[in-house]
Amino acid sequence: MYLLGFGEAIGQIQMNQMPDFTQTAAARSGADALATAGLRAEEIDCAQIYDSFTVTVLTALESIGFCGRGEAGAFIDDGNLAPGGALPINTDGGGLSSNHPGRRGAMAMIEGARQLRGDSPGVTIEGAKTCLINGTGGSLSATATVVLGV
Amino acid sequence: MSDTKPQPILDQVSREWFDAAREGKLLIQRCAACERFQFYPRAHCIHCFAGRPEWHEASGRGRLHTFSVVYQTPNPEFADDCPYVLAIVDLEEDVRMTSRLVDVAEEDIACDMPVTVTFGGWDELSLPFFTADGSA
Repeated sequence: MYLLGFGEAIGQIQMNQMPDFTQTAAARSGADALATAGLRAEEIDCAQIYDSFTVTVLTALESIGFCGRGEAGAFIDDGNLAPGGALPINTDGGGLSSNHPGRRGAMAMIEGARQLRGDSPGVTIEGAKTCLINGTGGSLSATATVVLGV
Repeated sequence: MSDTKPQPILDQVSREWFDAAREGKLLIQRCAACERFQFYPRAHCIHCFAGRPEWHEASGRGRLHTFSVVYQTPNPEFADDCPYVLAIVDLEEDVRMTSRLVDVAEEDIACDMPVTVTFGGWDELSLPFFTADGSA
């Protein structure tokens, strides 16, 4: 397994100072991670996105570029995040169904690695070769993204 | 029945801002070096990192960027205020501040509506709130 790409970015510190409440610094960390991996968002087979709040996943999907701005709701409605969809995410059940120890990003990394090795204890995404992992920290202020590949 | 509301902890950067609010003035900061504005008060310029930004009295006019009507709160000291309107306001000087929108019927609140400062608060604390421009 290879670490194909990495990016991290910090936006504002206080959430009420966000220049745009629907976009986070994942726009930069995601772009950096995909650029270093030499991959486009549509070439990612599955993702682990730290779901600290419902909105975090929506903004991450749009900021990283898995769908357009304002399209995350429809993207999810269409079943893209489910197994068999274009981008199955949080295959360990996510923060609500698996665990949320406060450093959830580390658990997302573990699940991403297990998924690509084919030994995830949860849902197995058949044939997955690439996995993007994104975590948002602070007050929707700091994000890190990695791309793993086999 | 309301508990005591919190008071700000004043420091070297913020004391003058709260003092000005008590006199009905909304202060923001302007950098002497790059001449750009910022809010909330800090000891340095967030644009060019120069020290000691200067106080500048804002026009008090702006637009409501977004808002949320708060019907319930986990903080008992604010329970009697509900419902109140949490407001994110973009001032004319191109700084963004969190405040409250007051004296506007809920059905009349809309994003981008022009707003103007009005002062409210509790106990000895005076805070810049906002209301519909023209009704202050």
